[in-house]
Amino acid sequence: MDLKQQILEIKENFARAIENIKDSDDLEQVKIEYLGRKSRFNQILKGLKDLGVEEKKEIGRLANLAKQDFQARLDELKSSITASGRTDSKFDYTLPGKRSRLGRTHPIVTTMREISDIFFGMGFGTEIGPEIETDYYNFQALNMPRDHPARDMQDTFYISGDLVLRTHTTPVQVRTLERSKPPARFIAPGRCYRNEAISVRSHAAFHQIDGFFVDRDVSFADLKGVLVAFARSFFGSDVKLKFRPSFFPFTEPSAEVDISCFLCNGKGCALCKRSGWLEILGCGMIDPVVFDYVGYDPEAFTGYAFGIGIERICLLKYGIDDIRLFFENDVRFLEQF
Amino acid sequence: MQLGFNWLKELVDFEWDAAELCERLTMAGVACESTRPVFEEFSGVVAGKIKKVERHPESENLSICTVDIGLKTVTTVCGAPNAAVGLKSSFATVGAELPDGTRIEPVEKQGIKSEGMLCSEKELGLSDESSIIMELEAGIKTGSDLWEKLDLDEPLIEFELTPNRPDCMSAIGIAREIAALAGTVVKRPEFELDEIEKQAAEEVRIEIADPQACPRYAARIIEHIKVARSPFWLKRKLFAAGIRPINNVVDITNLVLMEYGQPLHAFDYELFSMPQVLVRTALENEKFTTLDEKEHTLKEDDILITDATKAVALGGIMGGLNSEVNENTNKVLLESAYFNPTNICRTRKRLAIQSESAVRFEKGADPNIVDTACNYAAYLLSKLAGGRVLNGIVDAYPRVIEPLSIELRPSRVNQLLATDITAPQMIDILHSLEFGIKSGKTIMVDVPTFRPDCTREVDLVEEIARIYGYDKIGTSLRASGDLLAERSTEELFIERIRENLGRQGLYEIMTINLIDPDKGRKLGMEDKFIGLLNPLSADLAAYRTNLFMNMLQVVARNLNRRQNDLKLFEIGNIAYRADASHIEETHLAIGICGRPDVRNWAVSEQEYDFFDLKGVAEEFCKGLRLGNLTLKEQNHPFLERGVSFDLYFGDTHVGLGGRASNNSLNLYDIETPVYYIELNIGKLIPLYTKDLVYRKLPKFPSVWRDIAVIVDEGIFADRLLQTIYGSGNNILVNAELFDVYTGRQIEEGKKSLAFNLEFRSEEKTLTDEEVEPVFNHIISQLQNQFDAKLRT
Repeated sequence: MDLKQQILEIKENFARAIENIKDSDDLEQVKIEYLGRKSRFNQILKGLKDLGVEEKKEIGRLANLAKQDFQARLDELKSSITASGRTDSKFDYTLPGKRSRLGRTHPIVTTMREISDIFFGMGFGTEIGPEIETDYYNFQALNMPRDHPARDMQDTFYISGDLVLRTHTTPVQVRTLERSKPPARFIAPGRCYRNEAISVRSHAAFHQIDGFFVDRDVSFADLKGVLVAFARSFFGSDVKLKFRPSFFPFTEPSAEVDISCFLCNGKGCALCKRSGWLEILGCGMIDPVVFDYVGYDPEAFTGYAFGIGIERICLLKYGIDDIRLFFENDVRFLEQF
Repeated sequence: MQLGFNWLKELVDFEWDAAELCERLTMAGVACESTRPVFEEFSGVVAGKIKKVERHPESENLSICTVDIGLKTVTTVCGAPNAAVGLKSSFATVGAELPDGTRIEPVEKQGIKSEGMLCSEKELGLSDESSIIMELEAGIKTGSDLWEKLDLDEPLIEFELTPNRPDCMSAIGIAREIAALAGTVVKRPEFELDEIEKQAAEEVRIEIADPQACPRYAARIIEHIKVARSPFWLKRKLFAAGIRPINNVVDITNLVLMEYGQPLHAFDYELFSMPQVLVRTALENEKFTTLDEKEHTLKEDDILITDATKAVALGGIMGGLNSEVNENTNKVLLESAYFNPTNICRTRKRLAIQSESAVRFEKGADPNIVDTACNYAAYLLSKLAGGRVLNGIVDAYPRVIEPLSIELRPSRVNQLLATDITAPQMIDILHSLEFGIKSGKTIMVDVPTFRPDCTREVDLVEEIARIYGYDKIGTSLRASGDLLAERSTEELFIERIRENLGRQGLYEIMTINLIDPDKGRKLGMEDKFIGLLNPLSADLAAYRTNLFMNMLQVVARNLNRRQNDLKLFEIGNIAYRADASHIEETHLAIGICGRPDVRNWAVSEQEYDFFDLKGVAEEFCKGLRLGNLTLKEQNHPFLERGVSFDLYFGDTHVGLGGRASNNSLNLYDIETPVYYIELNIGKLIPLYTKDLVYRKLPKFPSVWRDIAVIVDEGIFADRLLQTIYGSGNNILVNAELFDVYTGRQIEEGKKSLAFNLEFRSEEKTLTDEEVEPVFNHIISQLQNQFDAKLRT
């Protein structure tokens, strides 16, 4: 067989041999067979001395080219075997890692903290008050005397004729204003209660952040400003707000605030019930009656107040469909936050 | 409240469709929406005139009617008792589609061809009336399409009114709001009342015994009444308003109620024993049966309408069974009155009666619409029920309630709203809402008596703001620099707690503060529970005195769901009775139960034990720089005897901890040990310092020595450590217990404890020669004090 033919045959064999390489052992084998000292190439090259000058040149060139090619392809294969994991090592780095489990913060707490932080940045201090509250602070001083129709809006747990589980965190406003002097700018986060059957949509316990600011010349525009700033910070800078006139006994004028639905950007979806808007909070200018109770001159001072329901925001934000999950504490729920 | 769109169109001009109307009203504070029509659509139903009625040969209850439907005459089988020649009724032709989806096909019933169907109002979805076929006005052209002809394509408007706006609880009230927004005026019903000569005042005398409870009581007497069904136009207004039509007399009072917002009551005059109305408050424990056949026991706040011998109505709330209008009623006493909201509120709440009347009086009706509403109802009774109206309205109104006059300062309005609305603009807005204005040096506003919510200048500010438009008020943000907020120590401390326990791998839980006090008593807890007067259920009947029960409940729930790796904490309030009062505190609870999640190959399967809990507590104290937590054995009824402690920092008692008792676990069906700590956060705060001062790193290297000793099992590790530290001669800086061993090679009743000791000086590098004597001293002290044997 002439040498040219032999080189071609070696090349063909080599091509078949590298197909079957599975790991680096195989690779080494092929390398020895085709490029090693005892390889057929070497035998051919050894036989060159018996040839004529032209032929020597020709065959030598072909053999060297083939050798270079083999070397390159084996090098390539070597790196690909390592990279694709077809290594010979028994080290199974695919086993799961040894984790130290991190704890979790309850999503309601996280949401309250995020909201509190935004208001803290706008100069609001924090005040808290008792959950067992007097009728005076929960109702009377907030312009809800006994036999007032507005008390119907709040189904109250009574402890005695005079003690209730607070139905909102607004009593903290009265307590704080009583013991401080304007200017006063605070938020009051906390838990509240409503005598309402526990269901997918409502719970007997819930959380609220109340906020208020009392000073000279505080206006409705200031209220709008602070809530727009809050909403942009919390829901995103392109959120739109809608202030609808409403009624709360302790504010006048009062408003309900909707934000443009963050899921559909106001186009209308299942979350916002096709309206494009989500109701998120109630607010208004503090009623002069409240100032009377805390001993401020309503002619000299004005103020605004707002109340944010945390569960609702949390449900909306995370797409949670059952409010009871917050109080059930299934660890599979908690570990998601 | 709900109303049909067309009724509003009758009362006021505006150019908006239902959706835009709702948007505008909502943005003015009258929340409403229109999501469905008053009537479900139907097609192919025409006015048909009955030409012939024949008895059905096979059935007594059926008749064969020949009906003229305009282009042709058809026959149909009908079972209604009112099918009569000449009656114009609704006829569903072949191919008609009814609201419930029924498609009319020609049928043959017992040999009789039926080419369509005469329909009842119920079949057309127009009312609940199903016993008779619909009776149309004679004027409706035979063959005309009823859906078109009756203009039934009407949106329903549903309102969600705030409790301060009783004036909006009527069609005219809503029309007033629309007029203010649209710049038009309300078109109230115009009518001329025909009265007969007979004087009403001769038939009834009205006396109000308590004008505080009932400031106004008016009545008209209408005789010759024929109680019958109301015409369709009236029924449809009520149907849209969600009120079930009953008969023309009751329907008329309801129509006036929904139109003017004035509750009326029609009595059967013949059932009065005396020609007299006496309005008085009830006697304590007086009994009265309302027309819903419920007997009530009354109190002195309740108002009774009487005929001087017997009570006939619970004033402002509900009429009595003994004087109700019935099908034989001929003569009616029509009451129109104004009652004190407070009385009505108390009565309604105590007796738990919901009525359209009570709701309006409680929130505040208009005392000055009483006569107009009464007159209009009398007019309708004369037109629709054949009534003859006696001359005059008998009207007891001892002290006329005048509109309130309030000064309005435009500057104050603009100050509060940060707007620049002009005084004339403000006056226009108030005018449009039917407020009276006297403008001189100052602006005086007369608040109409239908607006009991407006009593102060600030209430007028809201009126101006809501009609002007909240969206036109600008936004400003006062710089916060003038009032920097500070976080309180408590706030910061609680944040640090969350951070610390979170880093230690604990999950925060949140439970309701209400528990079952019986369960607490069963657990041996002190009976200091603060109970609720009106709990939702026995499970939620009292405020918790600690967080233990909630923790067990959460553990049990998770174990039931096969979640076995439970390291939990809760920060929440507790409260208990103390003397005549109560104390509320914020507590921290830590609960550990189960084992690490064994589904991970590298995780130890060892069940959590007491020292997992103690480790969390130690790391907690260290992380929050609270000092050393001391455990003192103390039995707590819900913790296991011997593994039950009081917790102290120095002398300060801060909480308790240990293992939940078997009794507690049984009560919650838990079979895995639960380790529990509860701390009073209020007690910890004084121990917490926000400020951290850095401790210099050691300049010189340490020398380490290990020592293992065998001692009696009864000797606790902390005593050995105390001795070790006490013998360290100022160069022992740390001693760690690194091994505890009992078993092979160790004598029964003994244990081996191994310590790693770290020696260091702040002044120089220690040599072995310097460490050796101290180390030996420690050993000899252990040998002397505890009879410790060195383990080699």
